[in-house]
Amino acid sequence: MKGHEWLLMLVLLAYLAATMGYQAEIFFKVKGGARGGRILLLGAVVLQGIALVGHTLALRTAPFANAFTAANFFVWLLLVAFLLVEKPRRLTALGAFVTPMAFFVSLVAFAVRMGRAGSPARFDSPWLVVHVVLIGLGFVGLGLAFCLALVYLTSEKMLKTKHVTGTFRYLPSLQITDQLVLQSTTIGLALMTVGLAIGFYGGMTHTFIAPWRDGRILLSAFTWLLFALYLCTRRLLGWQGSKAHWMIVAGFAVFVLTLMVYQFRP
Amino acid sequence: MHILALGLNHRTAPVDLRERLAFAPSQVGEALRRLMQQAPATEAAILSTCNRSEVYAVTSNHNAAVERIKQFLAQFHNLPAERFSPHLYHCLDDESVKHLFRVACGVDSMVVGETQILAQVKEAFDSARACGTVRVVLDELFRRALRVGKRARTETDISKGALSVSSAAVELAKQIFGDLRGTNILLLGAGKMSELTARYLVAQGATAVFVTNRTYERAAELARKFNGATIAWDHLPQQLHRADIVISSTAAPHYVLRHDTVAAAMRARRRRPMFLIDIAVPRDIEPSVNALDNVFLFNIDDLEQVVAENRREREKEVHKVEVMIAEETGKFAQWLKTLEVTPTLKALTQKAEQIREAELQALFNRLPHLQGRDRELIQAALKAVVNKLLHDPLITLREAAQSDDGYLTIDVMRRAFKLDNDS
Repeated sequence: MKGHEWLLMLVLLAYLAATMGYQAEIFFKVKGGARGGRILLLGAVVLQGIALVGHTLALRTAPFANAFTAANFFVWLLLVAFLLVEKPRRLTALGAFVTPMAFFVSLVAFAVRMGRAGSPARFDSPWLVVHVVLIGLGFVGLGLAFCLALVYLTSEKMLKTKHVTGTFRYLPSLQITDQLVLQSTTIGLALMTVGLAIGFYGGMTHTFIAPWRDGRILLSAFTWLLFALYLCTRRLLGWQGSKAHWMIVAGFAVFVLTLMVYQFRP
Repeated sequence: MHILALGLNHRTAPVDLRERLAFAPSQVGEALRRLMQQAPATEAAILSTCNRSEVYAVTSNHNAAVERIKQFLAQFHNLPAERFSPHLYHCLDDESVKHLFRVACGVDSMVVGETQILAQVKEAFDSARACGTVRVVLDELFRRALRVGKRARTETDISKGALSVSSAAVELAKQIFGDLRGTNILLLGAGKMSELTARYLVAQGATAVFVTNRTYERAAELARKFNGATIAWDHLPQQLHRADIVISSTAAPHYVLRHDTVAAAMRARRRRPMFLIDIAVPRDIEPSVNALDNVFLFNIDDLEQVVAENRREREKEVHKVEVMIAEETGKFAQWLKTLEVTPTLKALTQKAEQIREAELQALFNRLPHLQGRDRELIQAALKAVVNKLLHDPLITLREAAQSDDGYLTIDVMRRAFKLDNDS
């Protein structure tokens, strides 16, 4: 393993510990768990940033040039976004959902490692870089929406079954969570729309391949459609509540799993 | 020197006795002045709430102090001591400290973890300070009690969770809507309980209140109390969608709100959440309503279960708070030890010795030509200066040890020589 890979291994362990910290506080009422998790998360995010810069400089390519670094880059952006909103929006409970996802994605990426994750792609066109970055940021928005939808569904389930003590007290209110899901989805989808549009434009006019021949773009388009459907049903039919949030959870989970199978296939 | 706590509370005395021995806020100053005159105490404070009346005192003769405080209570409240003596409890030193800490944390309260007691402890402390009856020991004790009380509430869940049906409903409403500002309440029926719950919700920011009742006059009367509006009973299905929170308490023998009515209202309000509180028996709202998306129905049993669960959760936290109290009691005992004369004498002479040594070393470094006899003479002179300077303070300290309020002198000495900063 190279230096930055050791660093990423350390980061992976920190994510596991942060996951345990957040979950201990939210689900088992261990005071200080989330605080410890937050400190670990901050440290890990800094280390992961250094590792990604190290990798970029070593290979002289973007940090999303192959599946391994792209997954790490996505996790890094997701956690930066989470840390930025956690305190101002009082979303400690979200940590118990974001950290396991970050750990899971990092773990799968690490398990297949660089060698099997495909050789670094060439970014001949600046349009392609913009396209990939925007889609990546869009996924971060949708990833946050996914975790927030899980928070919403947990809270809703507890209210419906009248189990409203313990963990319930740590969860943000349903209305606030619902609004945050909507905001994250809207921002994520807007970024993704621009990213996809650039992708299609670049595919048609520049050197990179036709969009319908790139599975990742098709998958992104599918995800885009799913989240656009959520926004439409919400705006036009007034869909709120568990059905709408299940749509987000199922859609994003299917997307992540399919993408991982596609990216890390043997 | 002893710390004495003496009093009665909801566990040891019935309410009629507690109210006879209570001190109104306006009486506390006078009571403290009379207490200091009557009891052999150097410091005193009175904590009086609806559930307890307690006297905290620093004394060198605790047996006499107990008797004099009883006499004081009897005279002040004009009540024979025999009437309340069997209901009194008293504790000494560490136990008194622990007792006040338990009181401040809400562990000793009727409703475990209640928050009001902390403000009442602060009030007792402020009154005693204003009267000048707390000095070194009780000052430190009450400051630490307030600190541990706050710690218990921030580091444990002892004060979390509503303990009444109405406040549980408000907590749930907040958990659904976040901010209650702008939410509309609909009262179905004009029961006292629903009125009380509505009051709590309005106090938290709920804006509009609609009332509907089979008898229009009662609905109008209740609506007036909230500056609200009435809805004709027959128009309920058409108007239901306007309500975010519905509180139902009619005397109807059948369901007043059925599944289909609520489903239609949810469509009309574009499935924004609706919180239904059914406190009527027999129930007013069809239970299957809870299965509708974004509809949350709680009946009286559900709310009482929430309250019971909250109470159990608080009880579970008591153990954590007791550990915290034991730790803080130990720390206070350590602090109290510093007010004893022997460690103070030792600390003072040690500090003087350290200064003498350091200055001597600095002088010899600056004057390296000094040798043998010269050095001995300087050392002896410096030692004599230190001893003479310390002579009077040490005598004063030894004398202080013999008097009842000697710890006050010790405290002044420790501050003057900054002995606590050095330890």
